[in-house]
Amino acid sequence: MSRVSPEPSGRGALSGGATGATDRSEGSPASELQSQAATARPELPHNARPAPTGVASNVPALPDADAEERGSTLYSGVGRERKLRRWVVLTIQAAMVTGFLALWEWLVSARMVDRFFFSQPSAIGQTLWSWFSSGSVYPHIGITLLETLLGFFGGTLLGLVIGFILARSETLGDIFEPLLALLNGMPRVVLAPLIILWFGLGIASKVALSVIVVFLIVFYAVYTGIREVDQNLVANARVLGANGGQLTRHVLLPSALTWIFSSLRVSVGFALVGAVVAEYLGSNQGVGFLIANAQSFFQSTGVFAGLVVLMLMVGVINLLLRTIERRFSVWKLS
Amino acid sequence: MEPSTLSSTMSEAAISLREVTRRFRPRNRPAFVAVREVSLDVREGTFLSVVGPSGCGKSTLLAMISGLQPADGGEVLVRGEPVRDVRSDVGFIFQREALLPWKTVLDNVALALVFRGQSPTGARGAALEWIARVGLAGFEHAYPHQLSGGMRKRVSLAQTLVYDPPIVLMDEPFSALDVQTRNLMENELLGLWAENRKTVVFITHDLEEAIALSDQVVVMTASPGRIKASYPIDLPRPRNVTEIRFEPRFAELYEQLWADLRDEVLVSYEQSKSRAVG
Ligand SMILES: Nc1ncnc2c1ncn2[C@@H]1O[C@H](COP(=O)(O)OP(=O)(O)OP(=O)(O)O)[C@@H](O)[C@H]1O
Ligand SMILES: [Mg+2]
Repeated sequence: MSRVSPEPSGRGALSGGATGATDRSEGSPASELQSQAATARPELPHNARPAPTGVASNVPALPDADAEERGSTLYSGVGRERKLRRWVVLTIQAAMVTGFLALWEWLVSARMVDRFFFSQPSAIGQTLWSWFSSGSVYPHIGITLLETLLGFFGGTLLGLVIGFILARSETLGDIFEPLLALLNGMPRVVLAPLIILWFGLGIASKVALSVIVVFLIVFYAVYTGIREVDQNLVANARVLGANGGQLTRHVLLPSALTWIFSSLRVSVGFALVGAVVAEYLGSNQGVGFLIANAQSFFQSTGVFAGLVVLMLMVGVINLLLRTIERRFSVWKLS
Repeated sequence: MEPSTLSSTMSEAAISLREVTRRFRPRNRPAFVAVREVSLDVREGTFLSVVGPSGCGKSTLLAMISGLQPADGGEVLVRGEPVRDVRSDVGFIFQREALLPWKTVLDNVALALVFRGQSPTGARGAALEWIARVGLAGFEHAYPHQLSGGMRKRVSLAQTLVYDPPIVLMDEPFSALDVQTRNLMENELLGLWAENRKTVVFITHDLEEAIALSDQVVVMTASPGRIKASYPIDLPRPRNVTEIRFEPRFAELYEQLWADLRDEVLVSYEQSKSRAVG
């Protein structure tokens, strides 16, 4: 069974992202029975959708780096062959990055490209070195991470609770879901100025934007997760004697959690985007501030260095998420 | 056990349907009668099979007995009481897969006991015992997707039998299995059933399966489903489903039943063709 995931699909990072698309194609009974045993893709059994494969391209990376491993049920070469392939891929990647940096360095040195706008890899490296060796960058990274974490957890909690309530009550769902869809359709970045106005230049406004962004993603994951829960599972639980609370605890919540879980990378990515955008628009600390500050002094080197710091953060976060995903998703791994 | 007859008295009936009707009103299509005025008594301790063409309302019938779906007309009585809600004394093994994918075999089987407020250790003990009885010892900690179709059906069986419901409804439990696995599981089911003779309503497309397992076989008409005929199956027990097919009496029964069923299958086929064209 393939389902269209209610995640943002490659649209503007803060523009209408999480759509509640629930359009799905049911497999024939026969294929349904087999789908569990013979999934080529790492699919969540039953009422869950595939893990986010196409993470929105403008979410700062959070790439699906272990797609290769997760596809391991398909034939992808025996051990040695695969290792070799991995090395080839890594070598080509390294060569490409080095080549690109060298070309950039050379174009600027040869004055074919304007240093003022494009800076130079060596200069960016120097700036980064001074930031890290003096330690001046760490407080900024720390603040941005804190905002991201608070935004992520706040948004997830809010999305979980509200998604659950609206999915369980038909009336409330009918009243509020269209309003949220309206909010969801709006580019969230336009909220940033208002939020900064309301919450000030401190950390609160960053967390607030982050919460809103994450909330919408998680809300739709939970809302569809619960509304679309396999009715067969619900019927079975009821026949086995589940009361309302037990149904929630053993069937509905786990079903919703698998949906939240499969949008984990996207939500964390968006939490970071929310925080950095708000920092960029108005603050005196954080990585977004570093970039905005350098820009206001027309220092392209500083802007690039800030971007590199962001990329590094995303890389580390992604590594952590992969570990977490692996630990908590036993039942979906085949 | 003597062959049951239709003239069973009400006091003995574990399940009793009185002119039960069920309509569906899909949004974009005209209302549709799935089951029309079905009357049926199932005596306690009887293994009763229902056969009928696809779409004739067999699953709907079970859903009404279990209380998952209401009857629109008539009355459904289970052990003498009208069914108003899902009953805790009726087990139901579904046509489609219904194991919780995020729980292990052990937790899936223990589910009904946990729902009934048993202590986790007690529930696990009973679950372990049933897992062994359906031949899945060693797979307690596997997740459903790690099992074959036949193994998952065994888990469903254990999940239902573990809380010992006096009535068990089974909706084509073995139809997705290959013939060998299926015969094996049919024999196992008969073995389990013989231990305490629960009341079983068993749905199948397969006439041979119905005859081999049952005390009584009911043939339903093409949609809207009504009861066309009911045959007591007077084959001796204990039975071996693989061997009983070679008995002359089995062939006789098969011929009688098939004569009834064939017409309905043809009608159903014409219906689906004309629906596809119209
Ligand atoms: N929820 C529903 N809404 C509308 N129509 C329904 C619904 N459930 C069942 N039906 C219709 O009722 C009829 C009987 O369905 P049912 O599932 O009981 O058939 P069945 O005899 O179990 O078929 P099969 O042998 O293929 O499982 C079918 O024609 C089906 O289209
Ligand atoms: Mg059916």
